[in-house]
Amino acid sequence: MNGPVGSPELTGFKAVAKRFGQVNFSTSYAKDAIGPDFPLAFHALQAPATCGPILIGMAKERFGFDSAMLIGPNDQGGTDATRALAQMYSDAGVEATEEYYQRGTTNFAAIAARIMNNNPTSSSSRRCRRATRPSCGSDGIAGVPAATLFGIDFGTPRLLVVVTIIVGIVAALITLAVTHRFRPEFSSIEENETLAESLGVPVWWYRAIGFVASAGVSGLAGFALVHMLATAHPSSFASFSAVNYIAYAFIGGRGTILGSMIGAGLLVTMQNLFSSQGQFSMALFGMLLIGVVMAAPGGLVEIGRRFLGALRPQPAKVTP
Amino acid sequence: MNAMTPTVAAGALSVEGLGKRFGGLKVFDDISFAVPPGGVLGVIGPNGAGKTTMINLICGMLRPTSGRVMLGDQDITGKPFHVVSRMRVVRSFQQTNTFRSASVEENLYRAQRFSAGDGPPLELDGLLEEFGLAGHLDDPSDKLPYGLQKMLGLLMVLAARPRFLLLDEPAAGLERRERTQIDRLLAHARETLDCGVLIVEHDMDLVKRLCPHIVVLESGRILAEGAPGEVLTRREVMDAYLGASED
Repeated sequence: MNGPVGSPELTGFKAVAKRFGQVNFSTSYAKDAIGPDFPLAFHALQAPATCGPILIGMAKERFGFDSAMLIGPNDQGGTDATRALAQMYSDAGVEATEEYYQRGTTNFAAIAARIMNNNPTSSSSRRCRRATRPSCGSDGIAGVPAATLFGIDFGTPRLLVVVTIIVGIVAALITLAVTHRFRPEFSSIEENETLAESLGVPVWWYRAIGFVASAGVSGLAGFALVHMLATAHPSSFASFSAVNYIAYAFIGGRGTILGSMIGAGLLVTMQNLFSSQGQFSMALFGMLLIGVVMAAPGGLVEIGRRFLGALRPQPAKVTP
Repeated sequence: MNAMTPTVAAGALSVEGLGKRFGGLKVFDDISFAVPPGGVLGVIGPNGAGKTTMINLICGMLRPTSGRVMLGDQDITGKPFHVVSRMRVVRSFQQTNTFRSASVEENLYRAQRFSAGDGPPLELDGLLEEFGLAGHLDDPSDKLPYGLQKMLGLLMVLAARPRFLLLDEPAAGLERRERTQIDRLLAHARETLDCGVLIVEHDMDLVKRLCPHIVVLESGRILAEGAPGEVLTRREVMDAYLGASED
């Protein structure tokens, strides 16, 4: 008599056990773990193979879902169990898809992205609108509820604009406070990291401050965007968008809020103008970037500074 | 060679049995010496002897393969660069090294701001005037002539109010008439800060003027040490170092 054992052991045991007339008890999820081919194999517990169909039926009736994703390890035991469960969902009229991971992995970021992108509900916009389905894969998150603060509902368009402006002002103040307080450190690290460190600047600390402040301000911008659009779409946060945002800062002038605003204003306007040129739009945009970087390596704000500096009367130089 | 180790002065900056390898390449091994507080130690040697690497190891830019760096009783071996600097062991660089777009005044302000020295900013007006920098306070540092940039870099190190100053070829690139400014800088550092100085230099006249004690590095070991007048006349030093140089 063997068991109780799991799927991998049972897979190995069954053929030998049948030949020698041994009895197997298994907690296995595996399909065909028991059946007419192996009459001496029994379930030791009420495994999902037995109770699964009942539970799925009850859950379907209670929550009203019609699709499911099953995630299991990609070895023999995992695939057996996952496929058996997928079959149970299908038998109950639920559309089932499967995803597998390497057993022992601690990084589920890739599988989470696949779940978001391959969410079976994404094939139907009708399903996306259901309150019980906030995530719609590549269709994004629709029907974002209105934000509230201390019980005040920001759902009206007018109030939402006011809140967005306030969020923008708060973000600008945070940026100003951080950059003003630490400007010598940030400028020094940007310009000559080794010298800054040799004079006692803990570079990693200021990088962390910059990262945290930037991430916080970006979070506020994300909050404003999502509530303005009432949807969170992956295309708003594509990697190309990040390149654009960096380009805004470079073209306008790094290290100044005005520079980022001028850069964003110019590039967004030109992007809209170029979009009428069809397949040449990206090439035109690229040429604009190259042109501005060559003409104004320090950004448009730097050109403005130089121009204003040239207008001011120059003090007489003292020679050594 | 550990000749100086048993008589290390209290509060000295010392290296004990220091060694450094880059993979299979041994730069030096079992080097020991000390810089007493307020004292000046010269380190000389032919190019490639490991003089700059020695400064990099002391200031924390590199981690030694063996041995220790001590600041008084405190072991500072392998501490991060900025931490060693905040313990007021501050280095200069062979090449001009300033915040290029910042003005002379801003450069000096940053050096004072970043440093860990207590008390009011160091009085540097006299040196700025002497070195010809007083008339350039508002100029971006990268617009200055080479000699002024070099002196600005050295003044920035001084503005950080060090207890120990590590000078890496401070006279390199300076015209002969400008090199006496290094003497003034060191005198000011010792008068105002009672600062110990380790100076790596090829200019033998400057070394003889400034250093009562020198160490000669050659092929990863200390070839000789002592008073410069005596050491520089030794045959093996002349063969290994002075004989190989056209200066």
